[in-house]
Amino acid sequence: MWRIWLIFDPRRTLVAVCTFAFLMVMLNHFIQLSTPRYNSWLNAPVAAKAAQK
Amino acid sequence: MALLSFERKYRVRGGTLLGGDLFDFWVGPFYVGFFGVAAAFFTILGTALIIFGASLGPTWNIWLISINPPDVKYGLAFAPLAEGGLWQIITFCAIGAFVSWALREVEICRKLGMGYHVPVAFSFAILAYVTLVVFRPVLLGAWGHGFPYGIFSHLQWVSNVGYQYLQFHYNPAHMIAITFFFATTLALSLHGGLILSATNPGNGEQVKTPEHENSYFRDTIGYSIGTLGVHRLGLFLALAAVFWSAVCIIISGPVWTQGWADWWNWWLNWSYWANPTTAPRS
Amino acid sequence: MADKGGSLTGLTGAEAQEFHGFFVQGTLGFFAVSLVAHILIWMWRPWF
Repeated sequence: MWRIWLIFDPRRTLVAVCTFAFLMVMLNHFIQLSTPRYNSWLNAPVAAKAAQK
Repeated sequence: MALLSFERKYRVRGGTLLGGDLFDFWVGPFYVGFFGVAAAFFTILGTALIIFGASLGPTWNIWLISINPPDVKYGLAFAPLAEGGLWQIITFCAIGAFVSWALREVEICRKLGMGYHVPVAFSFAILAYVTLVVFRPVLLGAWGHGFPYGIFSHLQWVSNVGYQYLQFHYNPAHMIAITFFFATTLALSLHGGLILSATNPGNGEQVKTPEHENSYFRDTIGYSIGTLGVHRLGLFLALAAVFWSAVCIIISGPVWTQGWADWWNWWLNWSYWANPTTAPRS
Repeated sequence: MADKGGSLTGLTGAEAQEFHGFFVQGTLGFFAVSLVAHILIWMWRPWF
């Protein structure tokens, strides 16, 4: 597998992989936070009660 | 994509504002840079959140999809994501993407040894957007005063906000902005017509020089601003149009809350005609 | 053009192997952090 770095430039690959990973992380967190079950960040008391039912 | 023969000359190292050599490379014909990465990040994240917001909404009709700002009751606080919080994050992503793009333009200007005219001009467009979705809502005390992100819904917002002030065309800053917009199109049509005429002469004739162009406008309107000057004029007219647009909406609400026609009452009360007993008889 | 010995990026075999070690290490670290985070979230509020 290490021969991949003879073909793909490590610098560009790192920038692309890190950007993509961070993008996916942010998107998934926001999607989770918009659901009633995991929305305790923005309106904690209401959401926590709703999720326990 | 093949590199154009002269392009290698412009692909110079350095001039970056952030990140040094780390992001100083090209992908195909496009310069990347730290702000290229940041712009791509904010663009993709914001677009993905818009699509996610649409999936929560009632329709996939492209004209009717709308990401609405939070209710006015949330004031300037964070709203739950499904009730306008997405709009807040998307707004943050949009501003991040626009500002990153402007700073990427700055880096390219530095690479090429150019002035900063392009990023300065683009920053006026950013100013207009930020005025609508940040400055005015903050001054009015609620994010709910921003406009919704939807093809029809943002047009309805413009219409509704206009009618809140009864006759928006009486807004003096709106008048100035419209005048600058029309002046921009007039100047561009005059300039474009001149250039197309000068570079497309009749059969057997040579392409005309700037001397001919100057003569044409000296003959028709008595003055020619010149080849460089017309571009400075165009830049000024376009930026003034955008600037006064921002002014006309920022004063609607924070400064003036009545109908805009009433604003002109100062004129009725201004001079001798305000007092009938001293007014000259006709 | 100097002969790069079949390398498009200019890295030598040794350099590529060294970088590959760090890259794999970083990937595994990322996976480990996310695994711990998922376990904690499941303990707090499972999604099934």
